[in-house]
Amino acid sequence: MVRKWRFRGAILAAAALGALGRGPARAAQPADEPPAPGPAPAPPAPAAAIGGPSTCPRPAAVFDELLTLVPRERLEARLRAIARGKTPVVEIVDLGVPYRIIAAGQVREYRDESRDCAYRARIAAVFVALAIDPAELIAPPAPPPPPAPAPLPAPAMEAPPPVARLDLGATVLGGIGSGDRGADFGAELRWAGGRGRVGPEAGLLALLPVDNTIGGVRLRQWRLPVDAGVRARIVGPRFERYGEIGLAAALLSVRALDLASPRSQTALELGVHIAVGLHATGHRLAPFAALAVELVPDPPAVFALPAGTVGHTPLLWAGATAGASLGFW
Amino acid sequence: MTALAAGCGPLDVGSDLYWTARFETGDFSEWTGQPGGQAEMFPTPPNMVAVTNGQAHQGSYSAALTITAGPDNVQENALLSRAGDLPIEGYYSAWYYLPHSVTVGTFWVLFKFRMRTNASDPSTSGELYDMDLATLTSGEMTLQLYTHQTSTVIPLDVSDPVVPVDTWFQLEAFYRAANDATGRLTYWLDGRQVVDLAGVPTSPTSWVEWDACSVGENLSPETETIYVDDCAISRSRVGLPGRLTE
Repeated sequence: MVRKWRFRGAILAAAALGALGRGPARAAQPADEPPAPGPAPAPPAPAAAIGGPSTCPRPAAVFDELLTLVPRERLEARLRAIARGKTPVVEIVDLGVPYRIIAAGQVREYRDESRDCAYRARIAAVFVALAIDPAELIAPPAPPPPPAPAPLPAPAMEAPPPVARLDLGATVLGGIGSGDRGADFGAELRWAGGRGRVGPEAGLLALLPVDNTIGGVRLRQWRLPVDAGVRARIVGPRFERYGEIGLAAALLSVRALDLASPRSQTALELGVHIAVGLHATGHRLAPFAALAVELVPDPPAVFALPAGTVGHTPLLWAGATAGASLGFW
Repeated sequence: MTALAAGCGPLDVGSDLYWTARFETGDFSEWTGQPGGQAEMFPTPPNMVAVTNGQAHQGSYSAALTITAGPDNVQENALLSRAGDLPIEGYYSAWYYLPHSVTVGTFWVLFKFRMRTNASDPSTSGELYDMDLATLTSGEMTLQLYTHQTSTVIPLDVSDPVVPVDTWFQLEAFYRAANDATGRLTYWLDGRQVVDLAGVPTSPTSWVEWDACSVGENLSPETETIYVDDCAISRSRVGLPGRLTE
């Protein structure tokens, strides 16, 4: 019984090779008929099996990547089985930012603004592998005979950018201006929307109170900064780099600590928020880090009797934030 | 107290001033309205205290302290005083206007600290430190610090600082009442430190009286008016640029 099955498999392989090497008439021959005499057909060259005008990725690079996903013998067998005398089996078309892969009658188009050709080759190889031999990637030890081609699952590696991100992180902030002060610590929540190169963003910082001294007057200071602006992105295969600019406002509350008659005061600071940051891509939850400055052109003066105006709150705030970025699709 | 600073207005975080007297009310209520505060002159006549709009350091009014201290060896007194509820340590500041130079025969006190040997017993009040005006051989006015503890003049760190006439000048003192080495008395004339007695017992108790005054004996001319304005007791240094109001 075992010997009989082996014999039948050999007949099937020979038939597939014949189909690829001799044309459709032979490929249509029933699989259980005896093979025609003669030498076995040569496997198709990669250039013939994977073609197209693309230079990014190059077809040869896609084939090389395919070999990392599918064993060579199995790949060649699948290509021969699908080709049925037609080449190329796979066609790669570079359309600039988008690039198109046509494999086994299935068409998929991806976008890669960074034009990372190696990355494109990997993505294309995964798609091709799924298209021509989904069993190899999804269930490697699948026994013969191969089942009918299953519906093609969406490639997991390539997802469109999220429509929005929510960043939550720990932040440290320092003021630069008159007076001696320590660092502010707190948390930052930031939203960024849009999939394009530029999109809206808004942020909120919740800082812990901090003590500082301005003009000899000790103050306990608490800030609640918010900002809104735009975020420009550069999306790469592994990281998204971004820069932000916007308007900032901060609710500033100060209370004198050592005066004979202290008073609490609240003011609104207006300024400009500028930031640069980086977060990982390809995952719903990704780490991020950002550096930010906030320029307050007209910081409030601090006044106390009998000294009068003892100084101003910081002209410039500089800070760093690190945390997790959550993508929403 | 909480307030919202409108727009870019200053953040007024409070004050280190315990008390001020600017005389802009046109009377002595800033002194007499306080426990232990007085505006007094004796004997009367001829001595007098009054609020006047003839001279002012800032605003429109000041106090005019007038004494007639002839060559009769009688002490004449016109004084404004705060006592009893003053801090153990603080800065005491007053601005003075002396119209012209005066020849001081015996003494002329402008700025005085008093004490009690028993803080709760008024009968134990006594003199302590007097900052006096004195006359230099050049005819200019200078300062002289006198202590009643030893009935001696304490030499100043700055020799014969000249007190200006016909212009406002500021006298400011830091005084810490203590009967041990934590006591301290420091004076500034127009912002310049002239004497610093540090690490000395200054008072037997924490009870403090401060007088801005004109107390003199044997002056020439014998009738003299000195103007006092912008008096303050503060937790921190007032200094020349110090502001007593927002």
